[in-house]
Amino acid sequence: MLLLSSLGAAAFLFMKLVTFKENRISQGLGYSSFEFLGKNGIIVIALWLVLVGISFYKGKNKDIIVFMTSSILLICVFWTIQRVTGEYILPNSSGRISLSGGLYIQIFSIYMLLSTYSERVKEYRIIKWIGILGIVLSFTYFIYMGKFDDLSLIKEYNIKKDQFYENLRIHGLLTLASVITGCIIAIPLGFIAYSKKNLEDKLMIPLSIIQTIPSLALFGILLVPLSALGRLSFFDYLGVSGIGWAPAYVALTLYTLLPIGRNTLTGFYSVDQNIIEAAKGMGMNRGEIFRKIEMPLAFPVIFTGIRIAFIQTIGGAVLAGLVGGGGMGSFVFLGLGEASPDLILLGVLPIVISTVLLDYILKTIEISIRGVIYD
Amino acid sequence: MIKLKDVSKKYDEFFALKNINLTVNQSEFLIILGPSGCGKSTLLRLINKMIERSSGEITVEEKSIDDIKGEELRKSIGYVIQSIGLFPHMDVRENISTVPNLLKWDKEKISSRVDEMLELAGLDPDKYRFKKPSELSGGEAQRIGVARAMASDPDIMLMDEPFGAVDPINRLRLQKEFRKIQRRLKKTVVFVTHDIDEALLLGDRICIMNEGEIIQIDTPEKMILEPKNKFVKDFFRGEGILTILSRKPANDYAEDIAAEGDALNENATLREVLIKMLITGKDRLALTNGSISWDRLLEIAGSDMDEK
Repeated sequence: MLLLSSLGAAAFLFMKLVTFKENRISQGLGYSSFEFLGKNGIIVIALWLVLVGISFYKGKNKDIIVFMTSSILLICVFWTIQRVTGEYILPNSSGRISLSGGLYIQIFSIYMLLSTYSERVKEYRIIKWIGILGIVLSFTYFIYMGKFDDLSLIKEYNIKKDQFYENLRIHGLLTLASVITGCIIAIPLGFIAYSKKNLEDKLMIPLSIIQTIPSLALFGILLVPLSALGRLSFFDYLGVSGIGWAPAYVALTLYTLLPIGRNTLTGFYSVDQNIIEAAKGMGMNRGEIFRKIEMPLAFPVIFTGIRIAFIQTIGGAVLAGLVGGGGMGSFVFLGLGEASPDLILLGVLPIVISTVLLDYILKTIEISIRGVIYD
Repeated sequence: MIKLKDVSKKYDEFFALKNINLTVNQSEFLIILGPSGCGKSTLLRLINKMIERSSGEITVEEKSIDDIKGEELRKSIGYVIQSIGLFPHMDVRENISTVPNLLKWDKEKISSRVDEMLELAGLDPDKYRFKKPSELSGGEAQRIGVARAMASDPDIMLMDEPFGAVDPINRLRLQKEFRKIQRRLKKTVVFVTHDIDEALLLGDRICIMNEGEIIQIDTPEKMILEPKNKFVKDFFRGEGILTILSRKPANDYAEDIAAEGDALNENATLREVLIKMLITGKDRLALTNGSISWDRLLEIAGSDMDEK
């Protein structure tokens, strides 16, 4: 707590808060917080110092105070920035503001504080929701009112709006399709490995080997067979070729096999043999044991595998951009090519956000499944 | 009725069971007793075809088990194992109705049967019906396990150390209750245990085994009084419950309650009280200085087992 708040305060005081650029490729000019924000900066640094102060305080309501202060601080940081950006940029110019290290470290510190303390204020639901809603609403307001339009990230977004949604859609589809295909292949594979002990190594080792192939190399390996397939008219019609969505889809699917297959195997192994013995002793046949006992008991573990596969694939799908498969990776590699960090951010930020969200949602589902089965 | 004729089970060159000849009569409570690894569980599992025998004949209710599919046979025989194996993802009601469901009974019959079984097991149906196994104590889980095995009202029950994992006090209570149920419902029970006290307490007859062979089959009294060989004698001579009871004069434990019937003589030991009770089926026996009850006897035996 003390560490995080001093880190935030120090970042505010000593690091560059933003960079002003005439256009996308110019070098840009760094501003420290007070240079940029002027008097408004006092509010932010005051809040940081309050947080530093609270870390020495040992009162009953410390958790609530820290949570609320952090929420307000987050809003204030952006509020002050949007207040002054207009002064730096002439309307309709291509000038823009990039966020710099100082700001990122502050956001990181606030994030850490919020995630820790939102856990601690769990019992005070109202407080928690006020904080979360406050942050979400003020951000929606800032974005909706165009207050951030001068930030380069938003500038990039506005320029590439159509592409953005198209790529987001492709990214989502690619992830979903790969994980579903992965489930269809890996769950039966895991079950076979479980029921036929002599096949276990033969099935599981190749999956581990696939996982160790670097994705770039995998694209290279896939290039040959897929372009050969593409020559057949049916696959050509589907759009299969050595580049594009096909290698990305195949590679991502291959990468989902290990987590899903391995967890399926573990899931089935985790079913108590005594329970199976009891089921058999009561006259269940093989199919009934599988349907009524093994599958429901193994499912939570299998689901964990699917969740891991999802998280891994969302990130991995960035590489689809490299082989022309589309998705958020297109922005990342475009940004790399043009040395434009903001463009990279435009690609990465939605991935990070959706990963965190998806992980949270799937974990919630997982806990409720486990609850149904084990309590 | 279960009949085994010259039954053997071989694993490679090793005989797990050798030439077993055994008849379990209708409504009999037969104990299979022996040290670990003597093949007693294997014997039990041969009867419901959990494992296949190597040679010999087994008939259940006059029918060779070869003529019945394993699953069908097992649906008609109750089976309880030490670890109980309640299905953790199903509540008590679903657990108990497993076999009736497999037999495709109609819903109403199943639901009334579940309540009936819970009452039989001494558990309040309204309180326990929707509990999950994780919410049950060891004793409760074991009761549910027995109730589940009896749900389809099988004539035969196979039990493999069913009370082995329960604490001594609860075990004694469960043993006693189960014995009563068995008597009332006239189930044929084959019950595997390595616990001499349990064997003596429950069995109509005891079949004592060692190294894959049957050594002696007899009533508990005969087993103690006329052991066939040194193995049987040694097996029972340990600190068995009877030995303990035989060292205690019954008059020391008399309760000041009148009881009908002739009083035992004043030198009688608790062991004689136990045998008399087993033979007459009475809950309370008169002594020269009062009387003694079945529960009191169990309590004494139980407290002594704890002391060790």
